[in-house]
Amino acid sequence: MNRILLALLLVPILSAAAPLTVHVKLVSDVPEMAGKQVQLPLWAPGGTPRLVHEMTDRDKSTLLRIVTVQGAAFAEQSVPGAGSSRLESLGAGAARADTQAAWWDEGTLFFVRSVGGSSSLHYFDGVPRELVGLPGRVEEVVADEPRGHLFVTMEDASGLDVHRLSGEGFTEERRRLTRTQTEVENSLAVERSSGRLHFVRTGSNATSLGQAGLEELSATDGPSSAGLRAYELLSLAAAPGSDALVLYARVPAGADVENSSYVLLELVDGKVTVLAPGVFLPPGLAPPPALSHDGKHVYYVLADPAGGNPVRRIERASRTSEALDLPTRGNQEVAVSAYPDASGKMVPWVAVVAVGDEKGQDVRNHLYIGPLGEWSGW
Amino acid sequence: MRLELLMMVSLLGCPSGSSAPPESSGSVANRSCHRDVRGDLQTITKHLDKGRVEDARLYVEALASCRDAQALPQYFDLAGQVAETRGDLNGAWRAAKSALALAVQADDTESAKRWAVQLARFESDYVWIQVLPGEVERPPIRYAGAVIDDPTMRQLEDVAQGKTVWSRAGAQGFWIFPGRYKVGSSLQTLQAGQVVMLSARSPGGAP
Repeated sequence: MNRILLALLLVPILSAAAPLTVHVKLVSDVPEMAGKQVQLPLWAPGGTPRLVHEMTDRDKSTLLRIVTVQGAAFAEQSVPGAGSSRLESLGAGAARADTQAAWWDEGTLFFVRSVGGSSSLHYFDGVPRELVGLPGRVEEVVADEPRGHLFVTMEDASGLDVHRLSGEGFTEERRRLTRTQTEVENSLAVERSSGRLHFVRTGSNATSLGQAGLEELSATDGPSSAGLRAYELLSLAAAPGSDALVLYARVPAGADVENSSYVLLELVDGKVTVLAPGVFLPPGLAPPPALSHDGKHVYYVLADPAGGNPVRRIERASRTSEALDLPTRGNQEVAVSAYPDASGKMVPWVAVVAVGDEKGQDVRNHLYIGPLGEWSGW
Repeated sequence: MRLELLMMVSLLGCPSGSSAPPESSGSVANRSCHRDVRGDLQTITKHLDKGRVEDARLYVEALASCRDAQALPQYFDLAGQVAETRGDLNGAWRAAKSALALAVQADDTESAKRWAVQLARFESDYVWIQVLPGEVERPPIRYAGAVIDDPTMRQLEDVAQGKTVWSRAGAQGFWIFPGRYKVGSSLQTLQAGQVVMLSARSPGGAP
């Protein structure tokens, strides 16, 4: 009898979900970041927690900074203006905007550098190296290292289109995958297992999806659904190992910012589902949805200024949504990946851009990172 | 004063006077020339100020075999700037060391300190590939990143041709940009300030 009573008492306790505590540390309260704001954190692939983020000092410049977790601390590295430190000290590209970072592998990345009127593609492995010979202004890049592909959106006399670059030095194949006069392609995303490219097409009246298979010579229409017409598609992520897409969208389509809201959508087999209404997106280009490494969860920021814009995650299969236990308020962005701990178990790592430092004396956008769970030494 | 300077150079690890071997690719300036050296140096400065590095390089090379120019620290200053801007790190290193030697020779403490700082900055910004004389003449180093650029190709050409320079500690080696390289059979991301030691016994190199 006593055992039954004890079991009855314990059941609710055991079945209650453990709080999703993220042990975050502030990694942007450093001299190099003085006066600068953080945006667009992007986790690297590989075995070590590492991310790159943009840091911007208002109108002057945007630079890239890499943060690597080392035990309980972190190391940082900024992408310089030139390979030669003399050129760097002379201010090479000082008024540059380094944006659109895309990891190539766990230690090197591509990015777009805009200086003056030019906008070119660079690779960073310790020094920036320009990928020369591209015929237009590069706007965006994503990388598919296992297959040796780079996808870029590039603007030339024919308009802004998607191109695929591959081969030695990315010169053997430089193929224009789209030829659209009036549409703008953006938010490129590669599905990891198939190498299929997905992107958003924005026309004057509507948005739609496009895609390109591994060896296809040109892009085709992406999955469509009548349900998508209600939305203005902003950015997307491709769920690994499936045809599912997760998207940020504005609703109703065509409405101005004051009279619209943002939603998190899922598109599977032509069926659109709202995963989360009333999500928060930072001003400017929408970041891609924060899909977990296994595709099971999507992390997002709920638009709830009174509640500090809490960060939540939703399980795609069950539609169960939970709040993350974070000390931050005024959350702006979230990014997620996973890294193996000492035992080989994959542990999610979360990056949150939030307003203010730990002392509450600073109103800039800061960066907090940490594991969702235990991480030895952190 | 002179003794102080010599001690400073010694502490910095410069190879000492006559015992130091000549740079393997250094030019020997033994001719006076019929050029207007001061005028050429001004022209180099103007080209550099306007970002015309290749134009500046032509003048630097024209003065390279000119004894009058080689006696001027300003020549080595400008030659180093041109070389480093082009990614010719070994050339820039040689120029900086020559400028330091001239400053010491002239009892110019301030200049000597400035060049010592310049060399230290160099050491923290680039990667030093050190070889043991006679053991590894042509280190097996290949670029292994996704995008190679012209300066890196030139640096690796120096390596392939065994064109070494001498470090402040009197060791033989090469300067290259940080980046992803294959050293022997080992894929490595070489960081700024890193020293890679190569020997015949460990051709993969051990930093």
